[in-house]
Amino acid sequence: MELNEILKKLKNVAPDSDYSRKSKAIILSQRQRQSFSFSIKDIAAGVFRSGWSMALAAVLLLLAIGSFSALKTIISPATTAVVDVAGLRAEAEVIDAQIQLTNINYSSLENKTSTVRMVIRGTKAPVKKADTLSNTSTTDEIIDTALLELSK
Amino acid sequence: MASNRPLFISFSMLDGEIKLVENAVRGEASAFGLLYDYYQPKIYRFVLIKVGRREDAEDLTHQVFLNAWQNIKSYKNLGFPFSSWLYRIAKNQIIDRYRTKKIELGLESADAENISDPSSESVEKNLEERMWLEKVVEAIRELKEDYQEVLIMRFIEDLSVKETAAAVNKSEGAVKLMQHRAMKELKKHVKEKHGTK
Repeated sequence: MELNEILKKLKNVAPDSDYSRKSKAIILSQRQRQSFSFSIKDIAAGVFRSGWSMALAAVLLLLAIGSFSALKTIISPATTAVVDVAGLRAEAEVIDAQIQLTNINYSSLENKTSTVRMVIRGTKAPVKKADTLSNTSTTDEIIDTALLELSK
Repeated sequence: MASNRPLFISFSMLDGEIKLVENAVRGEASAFGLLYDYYQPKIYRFVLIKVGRREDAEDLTHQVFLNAWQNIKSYKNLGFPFSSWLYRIAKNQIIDRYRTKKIELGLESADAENISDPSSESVEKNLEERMWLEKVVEAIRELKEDYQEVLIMRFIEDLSVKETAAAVNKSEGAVKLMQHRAMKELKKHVKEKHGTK
């Protein structure tokens, strides 16, 4: 007999029908086991998913921090270029000095007017208060008035 | 809409097998019963040729199908026939049996009484045929485990190369090579021990 033929003959081997019937009945009477959804594959997928979320959150955080830094570097040169801090300071000092000079002028004028008023008070009607003068007239007008008074 | 079911059609598959397996996975006992009727004789032959004793083969085959039924919810259709999953369970059952019980199966145990089909009169009556069956089975059992499995699946159960590859977890190329070598080895064993025809 050829080897292939003999192998084909082995296909005739079959289990006992009584055994098969009983075995089948026993097996089908058994309950199936519940499969758990958390297999290693599922856990790996979950970790991968949460990893992605964390990575995305980290990227967004970096972008937010980075944008602040970028804004700082972008905006600062512009402000320094447009706003001349030294110039501003000098201007502020000049303004301050002018205010002080005005005060000095005013004070000296007030002294003068007081003197004039004292002179006038001695001869004529009561003198107006200096502050009322300052409220109504400019410094030049006051000086002109004072000179006029003196010339009389 | 196109189905994403794998299109694996084989002549050794049961008609409507994919649907039956889906129903069995959902717990339908009648569907699993049909799968049992179709695959149980194949698994039984596979186990019997490997273990040699009818009682052991019956016990192991029962365990294979019991495990399959109890764990069918974990079965995933990866495009291979259901039989490849059953053959894998059978292989593992045989390995476990050898490991736990340490069965030392001598060649004598694989006698023709156990191998031959009791209902087949032609096999029973033909003494020469029985003698040759015995010799060939003995020779198969002398082969490496992988060779045994490939020979049984390819030449006795008529599984395709693809199905066999899925069942033994090897590539199709490896199966073709193993099949060739196994046949060569088998012929050599039969010649050496029992003469040849």
